[in-house]
Amino acid sequence: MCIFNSGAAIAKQQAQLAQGQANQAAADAAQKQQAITTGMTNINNAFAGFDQNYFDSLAKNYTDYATPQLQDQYNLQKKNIIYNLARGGNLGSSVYGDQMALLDKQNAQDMATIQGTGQDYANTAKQNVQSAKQNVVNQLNTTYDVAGTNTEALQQAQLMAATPSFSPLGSMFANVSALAAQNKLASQGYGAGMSGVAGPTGAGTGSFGYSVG
Amino acid sequence: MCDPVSIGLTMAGTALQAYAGSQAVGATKKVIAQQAATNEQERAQQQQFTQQNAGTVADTLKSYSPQAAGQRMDQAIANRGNAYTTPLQAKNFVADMPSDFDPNNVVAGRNAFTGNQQKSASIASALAKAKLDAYGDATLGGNIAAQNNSNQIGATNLIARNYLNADKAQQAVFAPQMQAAAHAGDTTGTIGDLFTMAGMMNAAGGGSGLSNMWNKASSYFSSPIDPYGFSGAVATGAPKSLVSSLGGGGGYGWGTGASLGGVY
Repeated sequence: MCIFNSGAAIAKQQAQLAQGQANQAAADAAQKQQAITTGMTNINNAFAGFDQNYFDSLAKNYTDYATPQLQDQYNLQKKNIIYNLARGGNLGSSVYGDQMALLDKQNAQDMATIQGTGQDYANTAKQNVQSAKQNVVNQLNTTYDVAGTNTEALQQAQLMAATPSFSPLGSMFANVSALAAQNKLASQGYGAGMSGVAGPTGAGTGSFGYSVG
Repeated sequence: MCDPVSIGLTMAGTALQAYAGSQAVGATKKVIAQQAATNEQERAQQQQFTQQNAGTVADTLKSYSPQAAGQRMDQAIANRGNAYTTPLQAKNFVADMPSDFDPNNVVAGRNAFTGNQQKSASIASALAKAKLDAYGDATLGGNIAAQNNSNQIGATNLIARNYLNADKAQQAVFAPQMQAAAHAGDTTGTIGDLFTMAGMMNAAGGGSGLSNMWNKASSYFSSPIDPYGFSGAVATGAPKSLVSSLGGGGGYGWGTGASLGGVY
């Protein structure tokens, strides 16, 4: 016979304690769900500006930056070809057409390369934005800190929105220049050979090309 | 002759014990019902999370399906192709040909042909390059979509896990609640025991002639039930005092001491 029934009292106390912990856990779970939902919405909003239009404009920014440089190089190369051929008296020859075709071909390839580089810049920016977003999401999942991750997301978005630094365009017509130089030498050699027939040595078939210039 | 007080008290104690027992069973049933309800609620919630994740997984799989990947690739090729060929389409290749320097129409015509040919070749080359470069775009697009879905699944899993932990905490409540319910009968039973003991003490008091003293002692528990001093009548009117006690066992006693044995 147990008058004061300590077993029941202890069990009741334990139940009350466990219920308190359960209530706390339930409240925590609801709070964390709210934090994740709100936090994810905040993060998505912070990075919402980085849509396809943004990345397209980023690619266009690069092409707008690089295309005039390419055009300058093209014009310069075209002048060089004309001057070189004019000096050799071959301006109206088919060599001019060939070299111009070669120049245009290279120019077309360079234009595509510039467009491609612009797209690559956009893709790199996409990856960077996604990576920054991922970091903030991970931070939210770890800390459940809505305000902190919101601030972080906004800061990261601001950083990502800064214009990337573009590398200046290198020499795009080096191949054409080398070929033009070879053609020039060949045409000069041919001319020398021809003049060599009447040259002081009386020798030369034109393949030697000793009298350059 | 039975002591009516003792019998009454004992009956009251028995009834209380029975009542307490039914109360304990009721409390246990209630706890089990709560547990089942919580289980069901949590099961439904987890099922909802699972369904949500299943939808996201299905979307990811759909995104990686050959059809979706093909569409994404086609779109990427078209995007790159347009980007590469648009400036070439706008460019007049013939204008760069040396027709200005050549009065011969034949040469000019040939150069124009070369220029046009060059344009076609350049566009074809650009389209080929677009196909190569588009693979990266399509892959990146698919990966970003998958990662976003993965984030969604991760968030859902996190929420689900938190609720599961909360449910585990709630489930941990039921064991002590069940224990408390089981002991609840003891609590009420003890009151019954007290009534029973009071009755026994009354009987013992009557048998020993110490009714006044025992009445004082038992009145603490049973004074409302024993207002007429039946225990005194037992002491004087009954040479053989039958002490009935369901709680501690019964005993026939003559005079002092014998009935006290019943208490033990």
